[in-house]
Amino acid sequence: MSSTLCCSFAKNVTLRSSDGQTFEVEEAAAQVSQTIKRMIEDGCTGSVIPVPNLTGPVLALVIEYFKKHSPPSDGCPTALLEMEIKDWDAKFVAVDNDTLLDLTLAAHYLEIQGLLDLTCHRVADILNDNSVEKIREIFHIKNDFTPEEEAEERSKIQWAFE
Amino acid sequence: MNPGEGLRVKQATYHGDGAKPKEFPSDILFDIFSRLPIKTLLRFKCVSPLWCTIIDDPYLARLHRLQCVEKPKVLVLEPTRKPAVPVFREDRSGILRFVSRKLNAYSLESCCNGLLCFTRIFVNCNHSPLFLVNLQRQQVVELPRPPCIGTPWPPVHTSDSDCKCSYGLGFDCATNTYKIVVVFFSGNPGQDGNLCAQVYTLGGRGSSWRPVKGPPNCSFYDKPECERGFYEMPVYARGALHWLVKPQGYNLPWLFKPPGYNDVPSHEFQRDLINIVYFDVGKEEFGLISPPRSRTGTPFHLVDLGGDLAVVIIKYHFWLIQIWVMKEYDQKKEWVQEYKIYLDQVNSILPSIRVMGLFEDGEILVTVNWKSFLFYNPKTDVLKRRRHYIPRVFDFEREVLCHNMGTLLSLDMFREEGSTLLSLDMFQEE
Repeated sequence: MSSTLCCSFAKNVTLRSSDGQTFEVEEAAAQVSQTIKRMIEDGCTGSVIPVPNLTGPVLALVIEYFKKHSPPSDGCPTALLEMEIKDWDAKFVAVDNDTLLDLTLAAHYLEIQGLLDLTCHRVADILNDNSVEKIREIFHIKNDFTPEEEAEERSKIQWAFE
Repeated sequence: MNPGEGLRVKQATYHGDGAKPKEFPSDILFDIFSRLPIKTLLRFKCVSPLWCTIIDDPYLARLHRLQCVEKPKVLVLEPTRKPAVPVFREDRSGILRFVSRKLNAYSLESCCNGLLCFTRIFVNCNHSPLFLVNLQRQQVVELPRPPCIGTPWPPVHTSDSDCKCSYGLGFDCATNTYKIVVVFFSGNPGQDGNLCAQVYTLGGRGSSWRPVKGPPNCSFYDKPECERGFYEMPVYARGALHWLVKPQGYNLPWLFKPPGYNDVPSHEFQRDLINIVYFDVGKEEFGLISPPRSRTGTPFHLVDLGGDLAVVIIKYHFWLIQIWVMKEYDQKKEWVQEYKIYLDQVNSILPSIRVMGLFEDGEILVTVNWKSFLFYNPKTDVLKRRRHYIPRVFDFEREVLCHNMGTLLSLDMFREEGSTLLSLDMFQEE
């Protein structure tokens, strides 16, 4: 009797971001992240799980993703549901560049393969359409090439710039 | 160094222009880059030295090949009479062109996964330099010449091609290595002798040519200079190289006849003698495959059709191309006639028609006279000339077209110790 009761109530875990915000989320949903899954298996469930690499706003987004992608309670996902999730995913990553890169990093750190694929694909799409200068801006990259070095690199593969 | 085992940058620190420094692990960059086309990636080598290092990493080239983001492209090797430095570019219609005055001095021997293998022509076989080229990267490496190709040059019996050598560039997926095989006739031309073969593994430290057991005796279709276009390179598909061959000493100037040449004796018996020789790149073994037998058509050439081996049979009298595909390659038995293309849809004479391969959206690219491109759509059964794909009339003596995916792989790893990486300037006239 007691075991039935235990299962009918979803178990929650608490996640804490780098800036100290805490979020409560169903354990099953949080296990979409392999990193969190391992922590739960190692018995960290009793206390708060720290997620020091993520800020509050990013963690909040990731939790939204968890909720959408938690395994359905009633067996296999239907084709319709999969379509809906695909649409949702597309909207989910239609964010500004900084947020997108944060989400990519979060997916990598938390080992969420689905989200990593999604964000990497989106980043690749954005990169494909942009110039070298714009890319440096998006990624906040300092150009370590001297102008001569850069000119030399360019001259080697001139056709790619045409 | 093993391909794919190249240096991997573990962690990268990004300095923000503004207040937002980001730690971006290189794993993620590898993942993102593997999804981008080669042209974009080459441009991004200029973003920063770190990006440059990652884009040159053989591990990325491997990921990139597996992702299959690159769309099939047409590559035109265009010898020109105009004095010009060699130019490689992508034109507005998406055709890759390599234009060079000196291209006539080189012979394209083989291509695989976007890498090209050239020899210098009109040079004694024994001393013919061998070059590996990645056009997209504008890189060239000179490879050691195969030793002991014993037949004198020019061959005594020029009517027979037995004494020429044939090169094949192949890839072994299991070990992620490229190999070059050379097949040559050892003995007196026109007399007794055997086909011999040697293999060279690219990128292996201290790699050298090794003898392997040669193929069964037969005559590899040669590359007669007089017939531009009938230029038989081996076809790489399913981990093996394939040649269409005829029995040794069997010299037939015409295996098939266009309409109007009916006075030539029946050649039905001849086509039954045509065979396919394969070389398994992983096992380094030769073998034979029977081509599909068609009562009224001759196996004309082989083609890589989206990774599958296919035989193109042309029935001139019916204005018909049949394409037979080897579906279960491991069993090497069953050919399936996958496509039938009626050429009368195109109002043109067809002296040299060639199926180039599978293109975007499942269309099949067919070339006529090495000049015009036709696209066959299997869904609608329509063969169409695509206006924007018709290149200008070339000022040529000989040009080669090829269905080419390109590769991100930097040839730096194939450089012999002490030798330098060459550029396309090699194709420039001194």
